[in-house]
Amino acid sequence: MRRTGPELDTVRNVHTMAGRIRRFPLLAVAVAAVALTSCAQDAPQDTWKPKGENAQMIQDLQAPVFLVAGIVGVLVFAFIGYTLFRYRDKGQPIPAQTHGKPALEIGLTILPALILVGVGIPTVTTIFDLAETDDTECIINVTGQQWWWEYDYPVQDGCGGISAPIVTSGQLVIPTDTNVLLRGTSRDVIHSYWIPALNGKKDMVPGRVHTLRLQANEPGIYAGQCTEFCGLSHANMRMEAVALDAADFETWKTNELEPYTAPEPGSMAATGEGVFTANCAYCHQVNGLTTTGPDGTKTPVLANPDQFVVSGAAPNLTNLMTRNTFAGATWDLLTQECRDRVWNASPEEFGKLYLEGVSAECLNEVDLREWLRNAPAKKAMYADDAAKAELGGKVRGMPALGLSEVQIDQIIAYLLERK
Amino acid sequence: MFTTGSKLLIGATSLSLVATVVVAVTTGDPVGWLMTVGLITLTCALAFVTGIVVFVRDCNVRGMDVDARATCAAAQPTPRPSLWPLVSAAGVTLVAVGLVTQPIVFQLGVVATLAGAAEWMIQGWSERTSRDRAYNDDVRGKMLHPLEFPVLASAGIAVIVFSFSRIMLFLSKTGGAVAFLVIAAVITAVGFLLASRPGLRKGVIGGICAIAALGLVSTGAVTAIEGSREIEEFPTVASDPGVCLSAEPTKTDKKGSQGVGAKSNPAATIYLENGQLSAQKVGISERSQVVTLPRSNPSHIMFVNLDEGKRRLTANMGSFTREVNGSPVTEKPVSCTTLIEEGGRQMMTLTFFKSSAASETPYTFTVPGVEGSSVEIVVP
Repeated sequence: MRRTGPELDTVRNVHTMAGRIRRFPLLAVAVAAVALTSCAQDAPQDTWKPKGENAQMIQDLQAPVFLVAGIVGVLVFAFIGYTLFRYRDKGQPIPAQTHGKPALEIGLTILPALILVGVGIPTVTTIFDLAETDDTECIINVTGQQWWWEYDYPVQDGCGGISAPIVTSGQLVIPTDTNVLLRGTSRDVIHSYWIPALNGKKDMVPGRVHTLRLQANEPGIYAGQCTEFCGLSHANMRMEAVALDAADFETWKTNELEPYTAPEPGSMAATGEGVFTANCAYCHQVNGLTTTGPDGTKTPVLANPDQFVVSGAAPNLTNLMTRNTFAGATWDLLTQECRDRVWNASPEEFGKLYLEGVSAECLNEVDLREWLRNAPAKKAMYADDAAKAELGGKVRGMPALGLSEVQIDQIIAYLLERK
Repeated sequence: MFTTGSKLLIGATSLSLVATVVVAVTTGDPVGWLMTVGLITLTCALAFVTGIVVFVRDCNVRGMDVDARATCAAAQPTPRPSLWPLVSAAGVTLVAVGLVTQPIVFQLGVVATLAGAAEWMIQGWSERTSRDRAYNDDVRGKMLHPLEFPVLASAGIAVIVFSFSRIMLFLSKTGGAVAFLVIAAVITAVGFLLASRPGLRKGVIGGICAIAALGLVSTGAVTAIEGSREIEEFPTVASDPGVCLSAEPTKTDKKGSQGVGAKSNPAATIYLENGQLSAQKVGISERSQVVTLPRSNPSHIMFVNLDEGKRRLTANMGSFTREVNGSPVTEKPVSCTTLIEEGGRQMMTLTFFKSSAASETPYTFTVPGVEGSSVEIVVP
């Protein structure tokens, strides 16, 4: 029998309600899933777990603000919910309409204003505190480019004294309990530096020098990533800050400034040195690397990335195997087991484990080989061939060098000694 | 059911369709295919027009109808003649031409198309608002005047400013100043004259202004075609050793602009004070004798002269020897500011493509005429 009129409306309402009830569990599961993500244990970029005084300042600000905002939000939604339910349409006549309630309006203007002032004063104070540079104890220059970070430690009395520039990439090494000042810029587009456990974000802008304070309470590795969309491999532009206690940091510095040690003649690493010089040293600097002329004269091998790379820079590989990552900290140089050992080490053990660097047993050969075989296939660098052609013969990031498997073996043998 | 007009179009469409089929079946050479394509296009166009006529304006209006407007769309009065369809069509043409020529043509086309379409639509709508033409014009004005007046005023001001700038660029430096004074004096005199005769008719004032504007725009157009005078460029940062190693004023110092913006975030500020150079870096309060600058990246350096007399800062960017035709040639690139007076400051931008290690001599900042003091530049 065909239903008509009010009867049909009732049936429709029942069906609509039933549909809503059926969908409710799905919605509840989705909300619960989102909520459960907050319970993740392996979350190195958790913004609520400060590991230094600068991040703690932000935490001290955001926690009460979040609390106040949460209370206000709950009250507002509760009030709206109550009003919607209490005054829902039950067929009652429309109540008398009134206009204006000065006491309520003034109250609801003053209350949010007071809350904003209460939030604003500590916010401004914190911003100024985080911009302070007078108490700097160590200066490090950081330069972003697509898609990796270069760190150089200028000659200074800070950082326990640095007598010659140290250049590294991927991992920033800092001393614990020290006010480090990053002076950042960019070689191409705007990037943003962010290690949540140590401080907030700071944009790195071409042509400008921006400062960012960092301080770590205890030894360990603190992860971060570029937070300003900067091109195709933006998601692969990561960084790690490694904090070492004063003694370990001194050891690290000393090692970085050690003279170059050539591979044992006749070894695979020695062959690798030649392969490296012929294929990689055009862009990658290895301090102290020389070539020997027919008359025995040694000539320093100086990289000229400005001639081959769009950004004009390529990572300095002098002590590659003292770092745990490569290719913009996107991949680990350590196998998962060795990586876990370093990342999960206690603060007391961390420095010793980190300074061991990458051994042959711990080397993540799989990713490193794939990288050397065809880097653009592993980390996207061009949208298409047309985009590549626009670069005027230069490359963005590491090109595919067409190395043979034997050459890759030799280069890896050579690089393994770079620590 | 079908009106006379519809029948005519339906017939034409059918005829065209039959002709298309006949030509397509009976011909096979390229000319035949071309005719077929043309007939298909004609058939589609006729079918489209037929559809519109049938669904929109399909009615017969007879002479005896007393209220044809209420019963028949075809009896509605057509809008007044308008230029806007022409503007829109020109805009669409410019868009098409701009796609294969210049972006500016395309952009102009988009603006003309949108402006023409908007004006056309609002004019069409306003003219059907009532039977009172004055009221309809008023409705249109209320809709469009808030947009038209500012846009036309801006365009008018832009044309006058552009014309004036072309005249000034055409004249010599001295001639420009004289012309400016004369024009300003004439405007002031005419202003006084008009103010002293309050009874003057608006038409006369408007005529004077129109003649002045016409004269300005036409002169501007002529001078724009003629081109600007030759303007010598003297940047405030030089790379000529003859300038950079000299403590004496050079032509660059005399002609170069001293008004370079000095607020852009410098990587380091170099001070000359009591005959000594020192560097202050961003974020560090103490001055030092060493500056580390990134490689392959422009770095802004501020020079502040706190000593008596005019001084320049020179960046000695190393020395590099290379073989040219079998002979060693040494290059010593430099870069410098112009001479800066006491208390003055100037920015220069440097880019080092090679690390310090690649240079045979250190990278340094020095001041010509000030001996024994320098700031070392380290490029990792």
